[in-house]
Amino acid sequence: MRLLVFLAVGVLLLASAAFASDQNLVTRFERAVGESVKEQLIATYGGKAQIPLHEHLKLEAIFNRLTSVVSGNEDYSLTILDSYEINAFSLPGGYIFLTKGLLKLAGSDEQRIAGALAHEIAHVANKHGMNALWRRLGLSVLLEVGKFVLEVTMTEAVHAATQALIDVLQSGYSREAELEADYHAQKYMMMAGFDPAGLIHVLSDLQRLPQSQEVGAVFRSHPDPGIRIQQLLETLSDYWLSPQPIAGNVEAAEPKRGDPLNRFLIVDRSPGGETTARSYTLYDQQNQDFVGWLDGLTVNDLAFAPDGSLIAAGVWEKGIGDVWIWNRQGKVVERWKLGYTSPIDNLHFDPSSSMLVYQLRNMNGVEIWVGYLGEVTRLKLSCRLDAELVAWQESGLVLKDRAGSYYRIQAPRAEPIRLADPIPQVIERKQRLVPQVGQDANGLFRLTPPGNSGF
Amino acid sequence: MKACRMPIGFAVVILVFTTVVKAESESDVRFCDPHHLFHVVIPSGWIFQAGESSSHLLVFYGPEHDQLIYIEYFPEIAFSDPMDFAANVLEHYSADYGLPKFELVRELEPIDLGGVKAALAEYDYLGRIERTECRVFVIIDQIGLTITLSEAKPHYAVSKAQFDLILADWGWEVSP
Repeated sequence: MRLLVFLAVGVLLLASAAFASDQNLVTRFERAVGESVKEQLIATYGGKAQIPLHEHLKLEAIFNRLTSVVSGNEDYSLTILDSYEINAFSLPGGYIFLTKGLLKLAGSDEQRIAGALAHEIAHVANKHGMNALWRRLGLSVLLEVGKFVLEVTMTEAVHAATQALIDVLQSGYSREAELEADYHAQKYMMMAGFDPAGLIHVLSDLQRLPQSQEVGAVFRSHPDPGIRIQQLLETLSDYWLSPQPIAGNVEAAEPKRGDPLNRFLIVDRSPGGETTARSYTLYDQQNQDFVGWLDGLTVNDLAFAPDGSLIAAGVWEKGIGDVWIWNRQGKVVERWKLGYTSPIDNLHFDPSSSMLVYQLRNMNGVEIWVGYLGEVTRLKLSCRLDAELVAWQESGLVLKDRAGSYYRIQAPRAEPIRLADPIPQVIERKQRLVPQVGQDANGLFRLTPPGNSGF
Repeated sequence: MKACRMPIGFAVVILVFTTVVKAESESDVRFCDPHHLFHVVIPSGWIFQAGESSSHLLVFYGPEHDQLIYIEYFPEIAFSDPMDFAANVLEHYSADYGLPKFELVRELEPIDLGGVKAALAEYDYLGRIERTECRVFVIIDQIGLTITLSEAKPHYAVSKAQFDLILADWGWEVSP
């Protein structure tokens, strides 16, 4: 027995010495373990998916952009799994997997796809798989690895680690590892020219899914997306540069008010007095009347999207300040239930109409926030500037405070993916589904859906 | 000699007139592209699909089978030789991530399209059904163009004959 312990300690010492001296050996072992699990994973999830060529090229471009900013000597590869279960995996050695289900969830949004990929890349870069493996296996695998290092047998060492890694994948990484991967994923996204909010958006999609939706059990709940979103929101503000004093003229650069399509006029109907909260409405020049959809609402501020398609308002209702967004037909498309106990003003859309900045006053003072349209993401940008004017320009968000000084807040810059070489589309003729006209038993003419023969 | 020239000149005029009439007979339509790069005679029965077209893609449906012609523009092309442009595209199409069951049925070859150097390739792939495509690659005025006939594989030969006539009448709005 003493001899066995002595042997084990000897092998371990040799193994650790060899590992420490030869980083390539570690990489080779990780890759071998990952490789052995990879095929099983692909088989379990329906094999490799064939996705449209352009989608593939876009994915590859996103993936390459992300891996190019990650340090380390991993050789990353991406595989799309032919499964509609919403899931993503990573294996030691740089193997990253997304299911078709997850791609469908992310849609065509590059930022969401980048978020999901960056999270899995971060697991690999931070050795979460291997660390979990060591913890799970303890001494036995170290002995096997020791043998591998001594080049007794690689197969045995890899085999011992393979089953353990499958167990790790099934039970998921630790909560700490998941949160750490989120933290690093945002960093990679920022460095690679993606909006770090993309990861928040894909997690909130996940959170909104009905329980009936097929989602990997670990992926859905480990840890709870709400906790992850909270942490990501806290770190997201780090990627917005805090207000920097600049010289400039915000009014000249971008007029605050006005419908870019010149149909609606913003009319101030405030009772008067500088201290009173403002109240606005819209006059429709085409119908020569005030719009009905603002009736009964106290609107503290109004802003048009740069293309005029959306109109945002800070609405004061029953002592609560919220943001409402309408389309031009007067339909509420979003209502941000912010629940502030102060009016909201200084609304301004960003040039791409994907974000809206707003200002409020509360017990802490004046706060400037930004919200993403169609998303849950709301972010506090400043709690010390009392902005008189706000304008979103190409260079960033420009603010003028009440003392007449100008500041700029720089948003994370998201560079869209552009494919280096043009790859022509391959399209097919669409099948025309023409409804049929026929008479029913009562002699009435009816339209039936295509393929439905009966009347 | 003068008497001899008259009938020859007359014959040439008749020949030219016949060609034009043949190309644009009945309800054939002369189509000028919105970017003012080319004009082409669209045979009777082919219909421009406005709903599927965009500023960089023109789509036409033929009267029979699964006939489809589409023309795509690439304003920022890095290639100057259409053979290089085509070879790069075919490399992607034939890759493992490319078109399902891609098979080249006619090797890439240089052709002349209305007096401009172009490249042509024919290949099969599996879309919703088995299809054959004939794709012409051309670079004019620093804009890349691909002109593609796509048809269900069993009917390809018939449609290809129509496509050849379209290509034969191809004309450029800009000087090559």
